[in-house]
Parts: sequence; structure tokens; C-alpha cells
Amino acid sequence: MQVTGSYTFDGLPSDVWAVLVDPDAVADCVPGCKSFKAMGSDKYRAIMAIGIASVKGQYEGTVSILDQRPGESFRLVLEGSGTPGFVRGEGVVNVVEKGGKTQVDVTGDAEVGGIIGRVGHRILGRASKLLIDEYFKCMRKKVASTRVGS
Amino acid sequence: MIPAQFEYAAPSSLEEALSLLCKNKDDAKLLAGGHSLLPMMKLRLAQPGLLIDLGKVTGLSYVREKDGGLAIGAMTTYQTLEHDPLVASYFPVLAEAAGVVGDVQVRNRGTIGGASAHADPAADLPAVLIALEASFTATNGRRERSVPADRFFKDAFLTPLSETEILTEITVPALSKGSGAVYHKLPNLASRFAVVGVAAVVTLDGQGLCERVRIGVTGAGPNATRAKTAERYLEGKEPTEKNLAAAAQRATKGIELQADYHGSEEYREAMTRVFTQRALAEAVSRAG
Amino acid sequence: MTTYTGQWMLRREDTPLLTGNGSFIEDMAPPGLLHATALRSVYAHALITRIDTTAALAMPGVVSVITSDDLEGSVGDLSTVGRPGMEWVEGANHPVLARGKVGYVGQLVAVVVAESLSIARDAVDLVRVDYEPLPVVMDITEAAKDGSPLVHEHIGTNLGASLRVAGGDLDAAFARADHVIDEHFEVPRLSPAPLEGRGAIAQYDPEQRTMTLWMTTQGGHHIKELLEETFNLPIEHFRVMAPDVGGGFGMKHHLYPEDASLCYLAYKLGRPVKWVEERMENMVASHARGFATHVQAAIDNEGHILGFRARQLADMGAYYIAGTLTPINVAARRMLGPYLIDAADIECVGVFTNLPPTGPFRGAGQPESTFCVERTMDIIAAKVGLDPVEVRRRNLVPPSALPYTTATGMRYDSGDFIAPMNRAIELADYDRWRDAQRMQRAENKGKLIGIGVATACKAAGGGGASFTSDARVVVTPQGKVKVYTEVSPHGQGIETVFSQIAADVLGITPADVQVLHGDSDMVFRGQGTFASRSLTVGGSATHVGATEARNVLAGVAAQKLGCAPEEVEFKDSKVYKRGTPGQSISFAEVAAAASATAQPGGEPGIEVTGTFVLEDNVFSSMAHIAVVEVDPDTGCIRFLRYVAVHDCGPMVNPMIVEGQVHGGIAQGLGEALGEVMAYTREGQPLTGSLMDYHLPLAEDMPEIIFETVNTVSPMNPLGVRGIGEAPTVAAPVAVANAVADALSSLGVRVPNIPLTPMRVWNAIHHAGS
Repeated sequence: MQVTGSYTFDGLPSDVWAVLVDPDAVADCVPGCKSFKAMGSDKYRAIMAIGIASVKGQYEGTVSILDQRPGESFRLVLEGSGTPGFVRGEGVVNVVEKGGKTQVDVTGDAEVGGIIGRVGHRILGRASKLLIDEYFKCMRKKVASTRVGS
Repeated sequence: MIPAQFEYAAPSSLEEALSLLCKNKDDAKLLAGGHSLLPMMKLRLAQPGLLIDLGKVTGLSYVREKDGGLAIGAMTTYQTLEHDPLVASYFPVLAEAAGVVGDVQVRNRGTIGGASAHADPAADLPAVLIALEASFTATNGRRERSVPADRFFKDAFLTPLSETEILTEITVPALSKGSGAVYHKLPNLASRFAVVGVAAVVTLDGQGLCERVRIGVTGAGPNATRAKTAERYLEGKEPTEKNLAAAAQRATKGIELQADYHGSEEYREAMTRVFTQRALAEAVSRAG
Repeated sequence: MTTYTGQWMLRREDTPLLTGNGSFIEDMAPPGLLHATALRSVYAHALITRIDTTAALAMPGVVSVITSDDLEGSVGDLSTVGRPGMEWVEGANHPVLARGKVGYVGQLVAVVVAESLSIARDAVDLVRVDYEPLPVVMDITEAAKDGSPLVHEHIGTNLGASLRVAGGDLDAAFARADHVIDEHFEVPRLSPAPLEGRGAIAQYDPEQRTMTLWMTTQGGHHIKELLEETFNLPIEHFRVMAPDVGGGFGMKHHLYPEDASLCYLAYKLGRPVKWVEERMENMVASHARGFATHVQAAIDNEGHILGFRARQLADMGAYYIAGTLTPINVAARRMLGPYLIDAADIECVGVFTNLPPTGPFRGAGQPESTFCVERTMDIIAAKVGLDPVEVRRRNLVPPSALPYTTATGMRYDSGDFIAPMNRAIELADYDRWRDAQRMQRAENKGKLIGIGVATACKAAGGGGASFTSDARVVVTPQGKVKVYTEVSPHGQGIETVFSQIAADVLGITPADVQVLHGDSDMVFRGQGTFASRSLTVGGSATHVGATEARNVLAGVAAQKLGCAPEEVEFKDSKVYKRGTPGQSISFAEVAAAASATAQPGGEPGIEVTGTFVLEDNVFSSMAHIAVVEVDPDTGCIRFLRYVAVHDCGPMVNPMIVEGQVHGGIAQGLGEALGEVMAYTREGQPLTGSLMDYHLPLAEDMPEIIFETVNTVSPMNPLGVRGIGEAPTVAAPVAVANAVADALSSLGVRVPNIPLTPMRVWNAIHHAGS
């Protein structure tokens, strides 16, 4: 499953990039994040409770923030599994300056398995889009509050 | 197919149901037919702690005249909509659409309110209710409110209903004289949900021009929606084949096309246009 | 003497089934029963790095959780049935429980047993399995290429099995050809989707060292043999019993990992253990078809096929199960269909993929190949400018050439391959539809009319051991008859049909005949129901057994009637000397007298075992014609007419024949129009539930115009040719040919089946791109 999205932020690419890779910001913004703990550098163990309509499930897995190129890009690797199934995804996040603002482009690929993949595939694209939108909406707030703070 | 353990309540009044819902809002689901919810529970994708069955709540299943249109209780089944004489005389399109939902078993259990609140992006009735400009009445026991159909289906499985509200009634306003309405769908051959479904309501004026056009589209995007650009294009125009085609071309405007195994974005776009054109043509011929 | 044979008779099986009084595995509950649930792989290809059963085992009511370690030394991998002339690699037999790695989504990893099904189901969610994903290979063409990810690293190739059959001078045929047709055809992976899924109950008797397996199967004797090969425990005797079985279509003729697991658990726990499959499990348990074929046909200007070459890839999935090699064998050997083709070279190669194992389904290789040949016939017609019917007429084996042996070694015993086509053309009003098509094309608007023809032949019998059938016939002292058969019915109406056969032989009524089946201890040996063998082989054995019983009775009656045994007639439940029906004695009286002379022991009455051995497969033939209209704006297909004519030989029960044909056509149309097990490239099922997998619904079915031709086969005493699988051979390609014909007016090539609206629309709207 292809996942793509573009999000515009107020602020400099370097500031936005810094928030995007900040584990505390990630922990706050991952939808339904219940626990987020570092396991060595750049890799975190997370527990998330995610629900779309009446389909709710708890997923346990890891988040890795790799290939960090400050102010430019990083690679995000996600693995999570729970009763409804599992998700394995990998995406590249590019941060570029555009017209005085910062544009964040996400392109990735995800495999969804288990029962959620079997019966839910017609809705997975939309569901993942909604979750990622929610994630970046939260990140946008983080960036905004950092700007206010500084 | 065994669901996870859950409690079951079958309240007999709306007040009782609302009170249960309020006390268990994070953990309760309303059962209003159950042909979507129960399979998800059996697959353990949904694991509500409490199932509140609205089937025994009195006064939620009815069809009655209201201000020249109809008021329909939320627990009214598809089967009733399909065969009710009032529905047949006021809004035959609603009866026709109810008759192409799922199969007989689904239609016997499934309800207009349950399906609306579930807001499956491929369900049939939302397109029709949007085109008919229905409105949805919900209550949390303290406050009753009404939401128009084109703002009710917000996104896939997402409505404005809060966790403590129960949908009680769908009202469908009267159609003006000279109106014709129809619902056409391309079914997913396995599930019979709509790959694309289009409901069209066309009102012709004394000169035979399209005075008012309402188009509801389901299946194509993440939610059922009005094809407003197409409506605006056709209003005031003569319903020629060329104009209908040009309107249909505009039916996908604003829809974030979805893709699955049964329909790519491109196919859904094309089918939305084809079925809009066919629905418009049929609605015009029924209006005449 | 056919009072009942050939009559429409309601099926005696139906009343209990239609009134909810059937008895299926799900209905059975021996005392002390435990319940099992399955933990399955969610990955298509992965190493298992850890399995933690602690939490599940700690749950109250959980009795056992087994993984592959528990089976070590006691239960081997599932065996596969080889085929003469075929080569296949070792080391890919299906493990009962995944050992260190998984090869497809749905593979059995662990089994949880508990006091109740609810507990077992809850406990499955507590078993934790850690996987390390491996590269996945999904597509057979990709899998067959060098450098593809390997399903079995230790084997070193995904090419697991192959069979090549050739005959005649193919080089010469191609050398003198006016044209060479070069085409590629694909037939999708399908779910057999029987109405009842799989299920079994295993119970072990340590005193008798007997393992009893009640199972929803097509052949208990076959399962018993497979269990004996799989188990390495001091079990003396396996007994396999089938209660009511809700369809199988080939899928229930394998021994599955779940069945072996249940036997192991019953042995280990000393209590009966039951497992009943859910539909979602059935959809990924085992599949069929999944063929890609490259065809080259050498033809002359008159449309005659001079030579035929094909290279097929067959999707075997990740492991062999019992019947995996069968479709490969059938597809290659029976590629050439009902045509006179002097030279051929056919190779079929089985390919491993990270998908569920495959096996026979409704035709077992014949539909796969018929699809290629019948599409080719239409392409030849277009090439040489002939009507598709005429091309077939020029190539069909004429009655005068029968018996005929194909270049691939198949012997067609007898019949008339042209008669069904001639009758189908009349019934379809073929010329009128061609006129309608010409008019539609001249107007160049509206829906596209297409006409598709398929002619085919289909073997009945199977091969090897399945050519032999035993029927134990008992005539009780009261004059009732019991037929014990090894055939294992699961919806075919075999009790009704066999009672008709036995009743006619013995001059009694079908109501006097009880047909018993579904117990490997009931008849010494057997194979079950598949390959359209039930009537051709099992029905013939019933005929032989009933005839032998009659001979015994005739000897006894002859003494009473004062005549020679050859002069004794059996009719209307009476026995008399030929020509003097007025001086008869009752059948019951003869039965009682004969019983008095019977050996003591065994059942009261006389008992004989009739054995029938089919020398070689018997062939039926058929012609289907589909007339469709294609909506070019949506890609939707609608039937305007559907005609099927089958030469099934004489009919024992025409009502059942028609029912079989309707069912077979439904499955064929499903294959043509909707069914496909589609997967993501990671190996996750996209059509893994009936919300996405399009089994045909009643409203999808056209009205079927059906007739039979009834040429008598010399291969069996009933003269029959089999009917169960035949319609599924012709139907998919008749539809594909019809849609191809419709699309040809736009210059568009028909896409691969299933011809879903989107595929057809894409073909039309992306033609040339």
C-alpha cells in the first residue's frame, strides 16, 4: 500500500525537521500512543491504541528514525502488531523550503496483514491517510508552540 | 466465529438506552441491525464491552407523513422501506434503493438509522438521502439536534454523532411537483456494496428546464457526498443528452477518489460519470 | 430392464438436509470432547523466531498448545501422491505445523485445545509469535525466473515438478504450417469454496490402538492411507468416517495439517478433539488453478491444427499436499481436447510460490488446458477467416475415428464429439445471434454482442487405484438390500442413484435399497468421490455387486421354480421363470431361502462383494454456447443466452444430471466472471473473504438451456461417461470466447479471466496503451 502526503508548516525547514525527529514530539503525536520508550539510539518501542469506527485495536511495535539528514530528510520505519493484525511500513520524509514556508513530503509503503488487512483493505488507504493527517496536524501544533517558545 | 466476551443490554426505552450509553460511552456500541457490527465483532476487530440493542426500544420504527414529506424512525428496516406504501407513494426512489441493499437477510435486519450512523463509504442509502436532502435527528437525552444529510456523512465511518447521542429519526422533505428521482449503482459483485452509486433528483420547471438538481454519490470517495458542481451546471439548463453528459463530467469534482481491488481511482471516476449521466437521464424521464 | 434407471426421481438425501436434520461434523459431540482452534501465519514468508505459549497455557480451561516441536518424531510431513512419468523435487511436503518458518498467509503454526471453543478462541490471541519477514514471491512467471526469491532455499529452485508429454512429428508440422498461432493464456487461482468448510473430530482408543477420525472428506480410504504414511506412533488402525459432507469440489480429498494435528492431540490427550473451520480460514487453506500457458499452434489455411506446443506453469503454492501434482498431470496429458492433432509437445511445470498449496478443483487440470485450446480455436478462426463453429467442425475427432489415441497418449473410447455441438447450435439459435451481432456492429452503438463456443471432452475415472471400486451388497432375510460403497458422496445424490441401479438389477424398488457409505471400515478398500468416478466406477461396482447377488438368488430361486438359474427373472419384487410371471414367488421369500444357505457369521442374509475395474478413463464430450452483451461504458457483462449440451452417456437420474450441470456451470461462470484469489505483492489476500471473492449468486445465473446426447460407452456396464465436472470444463472458456468476440469489434483483446467489469473496461479504454 502506497502512502503519500504533503504538509505545509510555518517555520524554517531546520526547525520543522528538528521537531519531526524529536522523540517527545513523536510520542505526543503518534495517534493513540500509550507508551514510547527508547531502545538504543533512533529506535523506540511504542504501544498504540488505534481505532477507526468500531474497529479498535492495540498495537505494540517499534518506530525507528533513520538516515537523519538534519534540515532535509529522514527515514521512518514502523512495525507494529496486535490482535487485529500487523503493520510494517517504511517512508521517507523530505523537508523543503517553499515560498517562505516549509513543505513536508511523505512517501512510503506499508504492508498490512492479519484480519484487518483481509477484511479492511478497501478502507486502509483512507484510514492511514486520516491517521497521518492527524499526526502532522499535531506536529504542526508542536512546531507552532516551539516558535512561540523561542 | 466467536466474538470476545461482551455484555448485552436490551433497553425498552430511549431514555434507558441513552443512560446506558452515557455510562459506558468509551466501551459501548449500539446494535441497530448488526449486519456490519456483528461480523466485525465475530472477527474480533470490534470488541465492545457492552452491546446496547436498540431492537426493543419502542417508538423508533415508523414511517409517517410530516410536512408533506416523511419522517422515518431510525430503526425502520430496509425491508419496511422497500415495501411501505407511504414510502412507495412519496419517495419510490427510497424503496428502490432499499431493495438493492445486500440480500434479503440484510434487508430484514438492517435499519436506515444503523446504516446511516455506521456511514460505510460504499453504502447505498446515504447517496439517496443526500439527493433527497434528508435530515438526521439525534438526541443525547438533554438536547435534540438535526443535521442535514450533506453534512452528516463526514468521512469513512465518520458522522457528527457524538459518543452519547442516538440517531432517532430521518426526515425527508416533500419533493416539488415535476420531480423525478432514481438511484443507479455498480455493485461490488461479491458484497453488493456500491463500487459507485448515484442518486439523482431532478425537478423540471414549466418550460422543461432543470429547475433544481440534487445528486448524491456513494462509493467513489471516502464518504457519500453531493456532486454540487454537476448540480449547479445543470440547473437552469435544458436536460439535453449533451447537457446531462457535461453535468456528469463534473460529478467527480471535489471527490477524493478511493481505490480498492474492485475499482481503481480511474475506474471509479469514470463510473461516477457514467452512472451520474444515466441517473440524470432516468430522473428527467421520471420528472416529465 | 430399466424400470428406475433413466427416471427423474427426487433425491432421498434431500429431506433430511432441507429440514435441518443432516448430521455434519459441527453437529457431532462425543462425550469428553475438547475443542481446537488454529493459530495461523499472518506473513507470506517469514522465519519464526519465537513462539510463546505461556499466557495461553495459563488460561483456565486451556488443555494444550502444540507447535512443531511437539510433533518431532511422532508425526511426519504430509505426503503427496506422485504421478507416473512426472518428476518432482523432494523436501517440499507440507509440514503439519510450521517448522521454523512459514510459507504462506494462513499456514498452521500452533493449535490450541481447550474445554470449550470460546476458551480456545480467546487463548489463541494470547499465543505470541515473532516473525522475521523474508522476501516473498507471488507470481508464477516471476517465481520461474532465475534470481527469484526462493520459497525453499534448500531446494535451490522454485521449479518443483514437471511433466512432458509428446507425440508425432512436431517439427514437420510447424515446417509445413501456413500460420503459427503464438499466444499466452492465464487462468486464475481459485478458492474451491465448498458450502461446508473443513472440519474433523479425532478420537483415540488406547485399548484397541485405534484412531477414529470423523471428517468432512471426499474419500476416507485415501485419508486413512495418508494418515498411515504420516504417523510414527504405535497406532494399529486408522478408521476414517464421513458424516454428511457439504461439498468438496476436490478440496476435501487431501489430508490437511489440522486433521493430522487433531489425531496427534487425541492420541496425546486421550480425549476426543474437534475442529471446525471458519470461512475465513477456508479461503486461505488450499486453492486450485493458477496456470499460465504459452501456446504455439501450427495451422494450415483451412484452419486445421497440424501441431500443438504448450509450456505451462502451474502454481503449486508453498508446499505439496496430497493432490498437488494431479492438475499438472491432467493439464499436460489432456491438453489436446476433442481434436485430431497428430503432433504435440506439452510441458507442464509446477512452481512454488508463497501462497497456499493447490490441488484439484472441478476438472483438475482439464479446465486449465481446455481454456487454452478453446481460446486458440477462436483465434485460429479469426486468423483464417472462418466461423469458430466451422473451425471446430474441421478439427473435432469424428465418430468414425473413435477409439482415438491423442499425441499425448489419451485414449478416447467412443462417442460422438460433433453431435453436442450440432445440437447446441440449434438450441442457441446460433445463426440468428450472428445476424443480431452483425446488425449491432453495423449500427456501431449500444452494447456489444458476443457469441462464444466451447467444445471439450472430459475424462471420468481418474487413474491407478481409482479405476477400481468395490461394492459390498447384502440381501437381508427380509428381502431388503444394502449397498456398501467406498464412494464418498457429498452432495451428488449417490444414495438415490445407486439405489436406482441396484433396484433395477434385482427387480425391486429403490426404497428397498439402502446405500451406505462414509466409513473406511465398511468396505475393504476404496478411493472416494472425485474425477467423476462415482457413477462410472462406483456405480458400475454397484451394478456388478447387485448382479452377483442376483446370481446367488437366482440359484436358490431356480430350485424353487424348477428351472435353470439363467431362466430366472426378477421384476416388480417378484421372481419367476421367464415367460411365466403368473407363477412367481416374492423377492423376500427368495432372500429368506438364500439367507438360510449363507455362511454363518457376518450380517444376516447373503453377502457378495462386486468389484469393478475400469480399464482406462471413459470420456464424455460437450458443447457450450454463451451469448453475451458487454456494456462498453461500464465493462459489465450480461447473458443473452446460455446453452449446454453434454454427452454423458445414458442417464440414471436426469434430474440429478441437470442439477450437476447447473452447479458446474455456476462454478464455471464464477471462474469466468468474478472468482480470483488476488493477493498484494507482499502475499496478503485481497479477496480473502466472501465480501471480496465473487462466488456467483443466484441472480448472476442465466437461464440454462440444457440437453443431453446419450452415446453408450463400452467401458462400463452402465455405459455412462460422468457428468459432475464436465460443465466446469467448458463454461469458463465459452464465456471468455463470447466476451472476446464482443470486444473484437472494437479491436480489443479480451483480458485475463475473471472478466470483472473493471478489467473489461480497462481493456476497452486502454486498448493500444
